[in-house]
Amino acid sequence: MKQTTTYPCCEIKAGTININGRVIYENTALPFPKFIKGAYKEFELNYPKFHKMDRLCKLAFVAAHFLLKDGQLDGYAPEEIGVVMANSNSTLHTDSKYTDSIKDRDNYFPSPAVFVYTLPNIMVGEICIKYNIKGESVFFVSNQFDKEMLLEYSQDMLQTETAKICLTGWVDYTDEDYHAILYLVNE
Amino acid sequence: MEELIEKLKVQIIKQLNLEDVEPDEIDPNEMLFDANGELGLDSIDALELIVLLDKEYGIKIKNQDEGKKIFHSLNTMAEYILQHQN
Repeated sequence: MKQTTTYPCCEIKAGTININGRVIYENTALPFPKFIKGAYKEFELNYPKFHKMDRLCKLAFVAAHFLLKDGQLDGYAPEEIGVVMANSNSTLHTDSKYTDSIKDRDNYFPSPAVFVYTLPNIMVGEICIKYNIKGESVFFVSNQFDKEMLLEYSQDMLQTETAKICLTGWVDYTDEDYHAILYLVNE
Repeated sequence: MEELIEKLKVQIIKQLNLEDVEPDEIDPNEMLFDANGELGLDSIDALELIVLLDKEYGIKIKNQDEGKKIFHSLNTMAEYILQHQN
């Protein structure tokens, strides 16, 4: 076990956005799409491609915003920034949506705009595009959020100089629930 | 024309999976494929719009240059549909 360190953290769940233990945005009455759009507008993210993203990507994108919006990656080369992420349900919500679009053979119009979000790596990709991250990235699908494993993996990347800073954490979405918790792991 | 534009807004939101965009937020005169525009559409969305015209209006776009003019804005899309719909 590596030494426990407190890293900058953003957590989104149950209608709240929490930065380092402090709630900065809360609207527990809204369903996820309206909640996340509300946060997008409230904090003026101003990134048109956001509207095209699937729900999983929107969740990850907003969580990453609060860890990276103040130039936290300044001074690092794009290749020095890693991403270590995981979830339990992969892209199941979008997978189901895409399946619905192709199951009727008499009305068969596969949707490219939906299909592109049928891999969880696209969530990492959207963040990398926005913040010009070109370092090593990895995405795990596992039953439960294993914070220690994810942090240890990131710390190993730093120790082996695979990266100098890592965006690390868990972003999971289903129709029933959502949870994002991201850390900025640095030396 | 206005009725068609309103219908197109709803169809585009559905086809392009823009689930958090309201029809009123789309300006019919705005360039659809402006990198700094409100919708941030890209080449995948162009494919979706081609599918939409085929599926909903029976119009097939085969010429790329023609597509650029048709998909300039919602207004140009609506005009093309009115001119070419059977």
